[in-house]
Amino acid sequence: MKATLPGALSSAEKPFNVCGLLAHVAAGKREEVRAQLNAFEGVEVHAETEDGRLVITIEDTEEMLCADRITIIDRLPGVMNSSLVYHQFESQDKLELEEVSS
Amino acid sequence: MKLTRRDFMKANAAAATAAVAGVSLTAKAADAAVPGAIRWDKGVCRFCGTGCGVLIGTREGKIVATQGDPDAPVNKGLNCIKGYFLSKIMYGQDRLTQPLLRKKDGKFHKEGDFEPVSWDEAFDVMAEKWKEALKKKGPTSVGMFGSGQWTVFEGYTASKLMKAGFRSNNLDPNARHCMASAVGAFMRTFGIDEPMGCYDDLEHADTFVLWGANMAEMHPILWSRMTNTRLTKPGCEVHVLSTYEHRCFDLADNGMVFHPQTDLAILNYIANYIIENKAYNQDFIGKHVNFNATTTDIGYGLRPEHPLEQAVANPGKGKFDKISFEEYAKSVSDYTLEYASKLSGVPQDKLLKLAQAYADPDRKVASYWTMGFNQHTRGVWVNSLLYNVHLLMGKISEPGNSPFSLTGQPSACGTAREVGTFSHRLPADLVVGKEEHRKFAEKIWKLPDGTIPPKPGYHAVLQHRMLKDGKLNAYWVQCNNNMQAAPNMNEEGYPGYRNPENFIAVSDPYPTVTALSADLILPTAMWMEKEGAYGNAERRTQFWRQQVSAPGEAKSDMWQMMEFAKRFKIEEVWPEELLAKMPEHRGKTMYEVLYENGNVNAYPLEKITDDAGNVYDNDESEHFGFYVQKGLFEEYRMFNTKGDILKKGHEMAPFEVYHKARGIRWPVIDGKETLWRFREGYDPHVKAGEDVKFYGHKDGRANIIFAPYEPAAESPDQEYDLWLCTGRVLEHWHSGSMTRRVPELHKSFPHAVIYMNPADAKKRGLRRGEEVNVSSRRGEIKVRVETRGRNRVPEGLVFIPWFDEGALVNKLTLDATDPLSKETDYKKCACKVMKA
Repeated sequence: MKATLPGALSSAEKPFNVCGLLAHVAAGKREEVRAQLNAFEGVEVHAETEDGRLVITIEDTEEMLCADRITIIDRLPGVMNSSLVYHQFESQDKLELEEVSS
Repeated sequence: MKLTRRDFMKANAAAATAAVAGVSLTAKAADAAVPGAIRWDKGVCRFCGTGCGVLIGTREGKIVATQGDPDAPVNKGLNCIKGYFLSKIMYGQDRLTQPLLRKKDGKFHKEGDFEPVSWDEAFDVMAEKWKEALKKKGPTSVGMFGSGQWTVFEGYTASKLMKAGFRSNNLDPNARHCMASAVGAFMRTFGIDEPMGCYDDLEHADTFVLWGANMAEMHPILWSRMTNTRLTKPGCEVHVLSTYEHRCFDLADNGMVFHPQTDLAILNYIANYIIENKAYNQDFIGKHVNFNATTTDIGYGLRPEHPLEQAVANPGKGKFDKISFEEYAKSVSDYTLEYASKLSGVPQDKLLKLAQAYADPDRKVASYWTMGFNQHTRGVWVNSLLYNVHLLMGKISEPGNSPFSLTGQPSACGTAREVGTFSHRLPADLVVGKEEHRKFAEKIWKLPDGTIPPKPGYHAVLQHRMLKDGKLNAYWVQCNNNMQAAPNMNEEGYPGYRNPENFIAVSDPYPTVTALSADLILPTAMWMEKEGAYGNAERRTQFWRQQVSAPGEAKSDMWQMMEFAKRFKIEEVWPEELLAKMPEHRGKTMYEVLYENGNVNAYPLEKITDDAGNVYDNDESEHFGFYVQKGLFEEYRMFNTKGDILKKGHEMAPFEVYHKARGIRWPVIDGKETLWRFREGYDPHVKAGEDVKFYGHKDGRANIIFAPYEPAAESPDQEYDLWLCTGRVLEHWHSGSMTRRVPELHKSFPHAVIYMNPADAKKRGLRRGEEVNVSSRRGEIKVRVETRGRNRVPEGLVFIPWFDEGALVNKLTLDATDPLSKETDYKKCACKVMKA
């Protein structure tokens, strides 16, 4: 075997990513940022703290991977700082498996 | 209610994020977030020196999820965007799973192609080459290049293997490229390594000053803590200094772009301002400080025959002499506001504002720096010049008053520095140059007097020079990508590796540039595939358990070193007169002498569990038949905790304690960590009534060391008319060997670009996105022009990140080093840019 030249090779199985992001939004910009987030496909705002931090989940969509979406959210005017809290990835074909019944 | 795995993933993400924010979710989402089939355990991030705690989610033998650890004091549940890549770095498609040896006609051949071989064949060939070198030229012909990404256990294993086993001090870590200048200044100023403060200062300071650190991109979690303080604390200010504008400037109250190298002058100006305005803390400097001046005109650490070295008066001289306060005041008096402003290009009002912040007795000031200071031909000097300012004001060793050296690698402190993997060092700040230190190490290691050679070995840059010159012939690189990382690749690194006299082995999880330049590639188990420990920038030691198994035949660096040691009879590496001092070692292997010495193998195998009762593997311990990590750590701990230690202040807790804690900051005394060193009430080594004691020095005082401004090694001229500065970007960590294997990351920043001022581009008839040739006296690369975006460089300077193996920027850089720390200046050389 000859060692191949390395690089970023795409993974064999197509992963599906979900992230939890905490974004700190400036006072006075909250409504505006929320509206923009709600317009993004695959993005959901779950909660908001009194000091303006939003609990957001982001999932991969056909158009955009989580990683790119996070960058866009991080750079939205009014977002002072964002931090990734959670990341999980699974292969696409396992996605519709039933996990929990309650 | 039925949930698909997709719903479940989202609910988990929402619940974890909400928990960090301290809010509760609607009932529906909360109900769903019951523990699933994922096993969670604490871990430490694989990337930078911040040392964030991460929770590692494993299912069916694979890491599938990570989240910021809410119980980790460093990051309090947050992760930076790089945390996103963590679970994927182990799963690149070209992961190496078996040893590869260059062969022709079924035999090793330097010019052959890589072919898969067994570990036995790999080590047979490698051992033969090492024995040949030892026989021909002795221990100075073998060497190893290690890493600030090695675990503490691995670094310690290497230190013993090279310094005691092979009796060669030619062991150096890649931390030489990153932290050596910081270390040099810590030793000169305080007599003991690593910062006195801690990350808690990020919440306590009133003024933050960044000196050559782009924290927003390189230490995002610390940056978010600082951002929080800036936005919530009335009167809080942020000053940012750099040779170009980066993302930290967005938050800066006082952003300053200075001409390269003139930080030396700016710092002396601040000292001058403090003295002229009699703002200094007279009581503090009277009791706790000595004044000194260092030897000047010390050269640039190039090869001695280099023209720049020929003209130098005191090449490599680090001697400094005591002077009076008045003499010190006179030395800095040349650095007036006018002079500093003219030299640096920073407007006077901005410099004044900065000096006033340091001189104000009512403001707590925290200063942060990384490679801007350290990768500097006067790196040790400039580190010390900043300490001078803090010491003049007594703004040190208490909450919020903190000169703080940030680190770039996860265990530059814990491994590279603390366990003695530098070519001049032994564990716990001891050095090979002192007989007392060597004897102490030999006693702990149960080895005869005279085992450890007294002369420091080849440091990182010298290793490449000696490979090229054929003096270093058997060489092993682990856990780093130094062909891509080291300076002046064309003239030193590559010719050194390909020198027919040399045999180069590289251990790595991936076929990096370094691996492909070698003769033998050894596949490595990485990160969570082994039990490990890292030490971060705030003296915090953190452990993790092995979460998954390594793929194929990949083995940890520790396993590789210990197995390789089995290939040598002690008679093959030690001379008869040494062996005669301890005849009981006769006939043993090097492995038995070093690692079955009654210390390292003192702890039997045990079942490794967490508090929830989950059971974890430990592949190395199962292989060797004893709890290897524990034995290595407990032997190492004798260096800092035993009754008769030579240098106090590095005390650590017993092994088991770290598996339960979210990291502990040394010195650990009576089970308690230390947040601020050298001050009564915070540091148990400082007794009641002593107030402040810099106990690294015998007289308990810190050294203020004057050093002047001296120019850079290579500045722009008519032909090579631009400063070249190299560095990192947020998306990629170091050489990109891990982050470029995460598809999303590769996509977001696929190739290096050259950041250029629009006016400079225009002058050369270049447009954004156009391909250009960038050349220096040493080589050339092709990249595309970027005139916008996150880095806004001034006219006359360009910035190129070094992560891209398709555009190896170290073909351009000069191997000029700080002559004291031997750390390369990657921030300053001259280049030109032309249309491709």
